[in-house]
Amino acid sequence: MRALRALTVAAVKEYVRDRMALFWTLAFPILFILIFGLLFSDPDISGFRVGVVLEDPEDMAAAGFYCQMEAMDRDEGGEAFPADDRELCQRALERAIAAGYVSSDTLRLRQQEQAGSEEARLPLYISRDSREEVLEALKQGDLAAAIVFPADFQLQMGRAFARGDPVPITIYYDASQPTRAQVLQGVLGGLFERFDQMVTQRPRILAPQFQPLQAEHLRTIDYMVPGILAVSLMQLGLFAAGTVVSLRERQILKRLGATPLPRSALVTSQVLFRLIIAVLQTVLIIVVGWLVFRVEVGNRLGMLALFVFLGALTFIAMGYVVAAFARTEESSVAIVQAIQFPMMFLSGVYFPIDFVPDWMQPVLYALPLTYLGDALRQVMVEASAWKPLWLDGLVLSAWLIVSLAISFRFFRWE
Amino acid sequence: MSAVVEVRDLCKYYGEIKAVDGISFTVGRGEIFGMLGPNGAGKTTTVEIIEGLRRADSGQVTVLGLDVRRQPDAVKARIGVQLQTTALFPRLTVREVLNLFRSFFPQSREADELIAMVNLQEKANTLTKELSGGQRQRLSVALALVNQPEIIFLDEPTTGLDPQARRSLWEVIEQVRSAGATVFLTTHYMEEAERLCDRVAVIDHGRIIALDSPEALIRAHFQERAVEFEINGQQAASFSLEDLPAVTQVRQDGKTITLYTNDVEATLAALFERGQRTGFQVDALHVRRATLEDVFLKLTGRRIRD
Repeated sequence: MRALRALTVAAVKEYVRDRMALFWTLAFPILFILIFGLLFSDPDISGFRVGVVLEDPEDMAAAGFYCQMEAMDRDEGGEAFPADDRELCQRALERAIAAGYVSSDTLRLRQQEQAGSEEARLPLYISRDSREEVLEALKQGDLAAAIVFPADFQLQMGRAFARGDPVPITIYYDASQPTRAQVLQGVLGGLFERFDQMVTQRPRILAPQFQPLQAEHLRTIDYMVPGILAVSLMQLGLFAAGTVVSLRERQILKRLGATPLPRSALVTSQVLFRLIIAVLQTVLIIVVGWLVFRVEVGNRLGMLALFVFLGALTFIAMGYVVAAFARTEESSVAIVQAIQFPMMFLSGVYFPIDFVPDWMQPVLYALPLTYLGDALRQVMVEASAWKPLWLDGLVLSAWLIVSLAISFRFFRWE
Repeated sequence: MSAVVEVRDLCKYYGEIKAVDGISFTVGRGEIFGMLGPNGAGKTTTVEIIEGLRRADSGQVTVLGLDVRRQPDAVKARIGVQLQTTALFPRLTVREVLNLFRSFFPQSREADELIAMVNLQEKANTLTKELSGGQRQRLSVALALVNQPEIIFLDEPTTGLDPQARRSLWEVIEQVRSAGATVFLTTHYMEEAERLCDRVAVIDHGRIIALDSPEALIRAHFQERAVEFEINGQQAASFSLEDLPAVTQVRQDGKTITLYTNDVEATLAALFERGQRTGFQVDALHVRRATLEDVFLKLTGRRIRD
């Protein structure tokens, strides 16, 4: 045990003092993240797209709110009112004034106020559509939230005036981006408060209720960071072959057999050492992804650790399969390159699996990196699953066991 | 009998090739024992069998009273083996490598003691990949000594070293023997065998062709001195010099002719006289004692180093 610990420590010291190794295993993935992140950055969505559903477009109150929001949006320099919206809003306004809910003076005054003041800058892009369209757009990630005004909204408003209970308004929001969701809730909550006061000069008759809706909304960089981690683990594991083959080639493994050191201790220490580096890479990649691109890694850290270790071990075992058959260090490196380059590009780690053409699907299924990438994506950024996690784990384990079996059978110390 | 190593009728075949063909010898305690022979003679194979790295096809090997075949681990714990460790851990310092190896054994010498034994004090904190060839070999000797072995095995320890580094290593080896260990080394440098070894086994084609102290070996085969020279002028091949006085043997190696003679003065006088008469000139003249190289040449008809 003392020998194993000493060997592992020695391997870590070797690594830390090897600038090339440090670059390839730590700096390179980070560079990759930075470069790809900058190359493929999604356009900056500085505003929030909110969809509005008017279940009854003739409902004066609902239409009124919608138009008010639209007006604020346009005030920010948006496009001109769409024609049918203009009519809608005109009618709603007339009826509201007629019913005494709003005085035309107050309204104009408020509008002017808001146009002038700083704090009125609502970063909202409002659009109106049917319920199905709006919710679908939300799910696709084209909208950040959807406000639904029910068909009897005006009626409910009336009752609220009379009785004092606030009217619940359902607002669906995209929960896959927690930070953005929080800001959104603040903005919309504030918006409704203002409406409240504008309409009634009474504190609360509207009670927005926020409903989370899971949306598939990954930026390219969110998709890539787990992929980069998966590729790093793959390379870490496969290139283990080179060290062993080089030692064997130079007869050092053979000569070590003349010492009481069990040769398995040497291999074990190499494996342990690589697992330590895997953890280091994971932490570094996550930190850089967060600091630079705000890639949020969920809090499934236990699962993450599990898949990092499983993935690393699987590829280390595959590295030893290569080492079992390669005679020289050069040939082992060549074999590893021949394996890892295609795997990198055919495993759907750098672009969504949906983009892979049908004829290539069998290749996807055959490659272990696909499963590792899928698992890491699910665990790290809650991407939609290509295969369930347990299946990813199972396939990786199968690769691990088969690789171990082959290396045990064929690996020679000389 | 204080034999540290006993080898009896050792055989190892690789298909048709007899790498080791019936070798027997013993190594006594406190000796520096050498196996001298050309590359491919079977030295490395023999050493590996004794160290327990290879299995012999037949014969018996006993190290420190233990049968290598049956108790390899016990043997490994008590012998010291030279390793090319710089390749294994290039970025560890000398001290770190020594401490690493010390962790493999329950009991070991202190790192500083080992460093002092091989005169690497100035390089104790240097990375192994920055050591010179000679320093690396000294380190590998130190590593062989970590577990305070009773015998260490050195396989061609000074190959590739410049003369000064070689001499430093010889000093270290002698210090190791003074500290009480037995040394078994293989070499193809005749000078090394002559200088260092108490006894030498001359080996060729898997067989021992002579085994004794260097002086005894030379004395047994050569009373004579060797006269070496080159001939300018007429074709050297057309000369027959055996008839010169006191010459026992003539050898030719390219341009160099070697005469073995019992009486140097007589032979030289006759040689120069003939040269004047027939019109050749003697060049690069060198008179020396016979060496193990000459012994090998005499016994096998070949040089140790081709």
